[in-house]
Amino acid sequence: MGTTPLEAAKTMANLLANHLAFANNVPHLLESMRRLGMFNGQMDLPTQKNIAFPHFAPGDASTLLGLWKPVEKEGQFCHERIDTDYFNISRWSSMERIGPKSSKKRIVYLGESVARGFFFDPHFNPVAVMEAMLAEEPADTGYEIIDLACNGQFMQPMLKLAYDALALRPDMFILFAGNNWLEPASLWRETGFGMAEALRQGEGVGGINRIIETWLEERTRAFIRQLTSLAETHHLPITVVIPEFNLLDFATDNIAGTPYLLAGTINHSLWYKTRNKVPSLMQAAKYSEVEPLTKQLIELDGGTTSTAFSLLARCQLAQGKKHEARHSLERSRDAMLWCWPLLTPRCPAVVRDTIRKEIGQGSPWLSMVDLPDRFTTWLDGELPGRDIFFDYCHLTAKGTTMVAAAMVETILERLDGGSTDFDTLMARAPTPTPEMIGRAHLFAAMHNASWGQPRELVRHHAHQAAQTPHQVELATRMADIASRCLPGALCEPFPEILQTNDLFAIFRLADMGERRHDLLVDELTAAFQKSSPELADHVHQIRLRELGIARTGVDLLNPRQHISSWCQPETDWWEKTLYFSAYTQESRFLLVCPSRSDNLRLALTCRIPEDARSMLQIRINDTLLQEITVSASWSTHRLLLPAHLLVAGKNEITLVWPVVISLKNPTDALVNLMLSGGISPPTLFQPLGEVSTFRAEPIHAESLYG
Amino acid sequence: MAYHILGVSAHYHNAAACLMRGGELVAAAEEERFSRIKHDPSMPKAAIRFCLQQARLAITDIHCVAWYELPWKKLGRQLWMGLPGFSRNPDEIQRMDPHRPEREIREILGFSGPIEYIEHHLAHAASAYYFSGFQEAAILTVDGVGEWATTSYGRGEQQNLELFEEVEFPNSIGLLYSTITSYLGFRVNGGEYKVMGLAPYGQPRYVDTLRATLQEETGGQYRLDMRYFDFLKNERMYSDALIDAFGTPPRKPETELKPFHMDVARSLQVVLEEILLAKTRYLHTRVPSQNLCLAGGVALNCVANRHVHAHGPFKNLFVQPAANDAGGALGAAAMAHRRRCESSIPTQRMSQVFLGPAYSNDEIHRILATTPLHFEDFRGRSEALFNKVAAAIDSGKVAGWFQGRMEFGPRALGARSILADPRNPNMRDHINALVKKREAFRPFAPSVLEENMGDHFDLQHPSPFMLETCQVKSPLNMPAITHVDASARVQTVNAQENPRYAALLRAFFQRTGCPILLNTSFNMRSEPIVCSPLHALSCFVRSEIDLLVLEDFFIEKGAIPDFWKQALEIIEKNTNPAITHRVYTFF
Repeated sequence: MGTTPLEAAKTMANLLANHLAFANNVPHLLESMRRLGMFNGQMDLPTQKNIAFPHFAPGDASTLLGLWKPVEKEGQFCHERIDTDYFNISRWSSMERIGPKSSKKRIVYLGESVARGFFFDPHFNPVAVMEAMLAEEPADTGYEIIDLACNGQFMQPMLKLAYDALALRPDMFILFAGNNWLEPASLWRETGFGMAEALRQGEGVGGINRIIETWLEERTRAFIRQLTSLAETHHLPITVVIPEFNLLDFATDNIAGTPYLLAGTINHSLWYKTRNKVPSLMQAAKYSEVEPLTKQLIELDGGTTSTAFSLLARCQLAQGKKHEARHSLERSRDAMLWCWPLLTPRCPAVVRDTIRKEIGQGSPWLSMVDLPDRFTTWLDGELPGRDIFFDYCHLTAKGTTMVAAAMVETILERLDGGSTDFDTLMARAPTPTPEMIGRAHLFAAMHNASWGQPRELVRHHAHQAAQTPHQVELATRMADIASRCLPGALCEPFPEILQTNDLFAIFRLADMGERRHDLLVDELTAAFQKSSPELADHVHQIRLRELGIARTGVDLLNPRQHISSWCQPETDWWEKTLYFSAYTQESRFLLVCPSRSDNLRLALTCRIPEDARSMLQIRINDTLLQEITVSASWSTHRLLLPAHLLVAGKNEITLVWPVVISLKNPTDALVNLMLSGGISPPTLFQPLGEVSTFRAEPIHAESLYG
Repeated sequence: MAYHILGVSAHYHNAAACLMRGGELVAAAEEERFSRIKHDPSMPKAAIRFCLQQARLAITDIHCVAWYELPWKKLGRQLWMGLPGFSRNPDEIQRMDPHRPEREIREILGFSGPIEYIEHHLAHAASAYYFSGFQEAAILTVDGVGEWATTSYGRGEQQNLELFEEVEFPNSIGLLYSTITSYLGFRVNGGEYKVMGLAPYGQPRYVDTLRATLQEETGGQYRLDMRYFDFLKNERMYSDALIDAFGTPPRKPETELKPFHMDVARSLQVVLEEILLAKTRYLHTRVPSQNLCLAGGVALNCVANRHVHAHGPFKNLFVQPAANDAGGALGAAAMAHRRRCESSIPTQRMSQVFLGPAYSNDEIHRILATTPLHFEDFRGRSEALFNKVAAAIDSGKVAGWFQGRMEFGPRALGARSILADPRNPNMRDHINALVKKREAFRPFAPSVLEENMGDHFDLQHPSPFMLETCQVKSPLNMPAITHVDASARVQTVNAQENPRYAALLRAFFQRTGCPILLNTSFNMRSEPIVCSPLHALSCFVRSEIDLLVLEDFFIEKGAIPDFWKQALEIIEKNTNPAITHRVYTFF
């Protein structure tokens, strides 16, 4: 039982509170004092220490392996899949049973969604391809692969699963992973204070990048060392497959927020002006003028935006500088680790390089399949793109086959000292049916749209899907659900999705939520126009009903009207603030009108960060409607939106913000927020403008505001 | 031009917001209803968004934000509590931020105008007095703790309100009650109500044990014997000494409730009533009014309120329905209005608390039409709807009832309610087990047509907020709403304030001769009361409610697609889980 503080201490505590009330950053002050041991004599400072994972013990006969529980039947020990919910089932392999160890060489296969064969699974996946390749090997005993790969797998759980899987008496492990290692919870817990300190020291988001890369390096090293210990203790060869990224076709500058420039070098206008010069120069093929501009951008933003590196890469590619372009694209991919909540899974260079180094110099029991290196060879120096990847990292049939062949090569080499020609292995691979391929393209269209990819890529996948048989029903349902304003699982077409028993489809469509999906819907409608000519009108009617400007008007700040992707810095804004913050120069809002629309009235309440009165452009369908003067104080503007500028169906209202960035140093506030766990890195984007209300109403409606 | 004030309570538990226009309450709601996080303490953005929309205002139209406590005064108490060191839970430090309210008001709400800070217990007091209709009154506020005060005594006269005495932390009746709540295996700041419901099952065998933990002092003062309490260390509420005093280990949550636990609950209720009555009598010596206003979380103990009213010196009692911290938003707004405006707050008794969002038939139809749901449309045929619902309830069905503007405060009053036949002997167990999925001992409350209340309950005045208990004296046998001690916590319903619910009651009365319905809140265990039609649908699908009425739309359980339960599970898996459990802290 503790000692109750003295009554006298109350007065002193109140006095101290009065003093602290004038301090800027009380939590940070107290936290620093605590860490320095000033309260209880025990310091608690973040130190550079080797990250150690918990000690995992090998699994035994009672250990659950993922979804498979150990059972004994007729004196034989095996594993059977447990009865669980659809969500869990969809993450793992569809195998019902893991039989007892036989005379076959047993390979236990672990990994993430890329290892699962996302988009194809369960009909076609790396394990199915490997099994087909191995089946024709003239081995005495044969091979079996136990597929324990799992969508959304993380590093430590995978390591534990490897230990648990020792109960299966494997002859070899393959781990195909590295895309999910930027684990938010662990990252924050282990580096949050350090990140706050980096901001306080004025390092900006470059400092956060540095901390994250160091953390990734240490964790990867610890992971490999733990694998080494596992391999050496149990005399098991382990192969780590280093993932590759869709460098050519996945736009990593999909996060288009304003750069976080260091205080003292804040020159956002110059950054935007520089950036905006590039497109016309690229179009005119003036590459020698483009490159220095991109390098200027990199210097301005300290290499912390993907945009600058992406532009440089495009320029280099246009000039045939593939090697340089690869380097730029990798830097583009890794430039915004500081923005991890908005990033797709990816294997950053630091992880790849650490694996290479640790395995290269390490135990003979460990080997690797270095996919970035292998793809360079396979593709004759070309960069991997859409023929290898459906999205950022998930493989097409061609990509799956190549990777499977590489894994089979290592299996043969490590287990039997043998080798079979790569092309021979490739030739043995099964191919997915056209329906499977079409379905995969359909979901790739959806996934890429959700990740803010360019229209061209979404269109590519939609058209690929349309060219394969039997996709029109699924495409129609997808477009229908995407046009509605309830979670997909509650929408009218969903029962038909459920009847397919296609768990992937069920989950992808179940929570198609409240965002703009019009890019996907429009591309699906166009791609399937021949096979489903009525689809366009069907989705138009749904859009009108669900999003159309009603008798009383529409709230354009509803996320359905303007949040279109998971990587938008503004995503989830309505859960964080009362007002919308614009982190990109153009904010686009969907307005759906009936065929005969009256004049409308717009009510906009907005402000910009600095009290430099500037002009905000309001455009309707890319036509300038009006320019209004905005300042640091909220101001409400009422504008007439004439009917002749509107079209039936989709219209887009764009707010084009002046580039005015607050010159106030935000570090104290940010540090406070970081320490309270309330910040997530997208908040580090600096807003160009803020919108408190934005409504469109029929001209004769009673105004909702004022 | 009317003066617009946004009242806000947040950062502790039960965040809420209200909007006052010219001294009149226009809108109020708790954040948890929108976020679906039980007792959500975060800055109530969604609730504020609703309040602004309801009042047809933008944030720029707000003249003042009123905050329901003094953060720098609270810091003093937090620092004192944190001694001798903060090594246990560094997260506590992050809550010691006196600038956080202003920072969040500016940065999250985008409000740049003046902020009025109102002392916590003053906000409680105002939340009761200014809505009581009294021209003058004595005021007693009792809770866990505000800044330092745990109990406050005050007086209201016309538009003026002052507090003249307080009891200081850690001496707290509220924390005594919460400590025993925790000892009995219930969640602090959530389980107190259950302990109140458990009490009638027990005997007052441990009154002396509990009296020993609390010492009355002169005037309004009392003192806890801190040897029995550990809440200062913020790890556990009770100490080993309390366990020793009871001679029984604390109950583990979700385990069987034994007679011992019921006896402790009963004893606690006795001690609570004793101390409250004593302090009420003291208050009367200082403020010899006929009127008493009660506020603070302890004022939600309606059994104690009844005791104080029946046996105390005050003839008239008012308890504002959101007597807990959510109501602090109302009180803060009222006090801010007093400080900043020349105009008065209308002296009229709060007659209804339907201050939350409503959803039109058009909106609901749009939602339903996008689903594969079969529903009946009763637009323009309300009477037929009420008759159909009454018939269904009479046949033993349980109805989810979603009408009009959502209630403000912890009670469902016919806007977001689950309704059933109070005469059905199996109904209580049925609803506890299958609908609400909660503890079997918990009683349900009745709603009765105001004009019929005297025929069935020992109630001499309307009780529209379900804040008083009384004895059941009905010729009808109503086991579902009659507690083990023959009491009930009654809501009286009149057609003026609650027309559609009154119409349903009337339809049921005409059909059955019973003007009473069982009324419990429309939610499942550990979830906030439903707010939107989608929440109602979700609760309906996942529970054993038989039918759902969304305004003029009627949906039977059979009309729900088979896959919806599964679908809702999928949606819940794919979204962030609501934080329904937090380590309770006074920070």
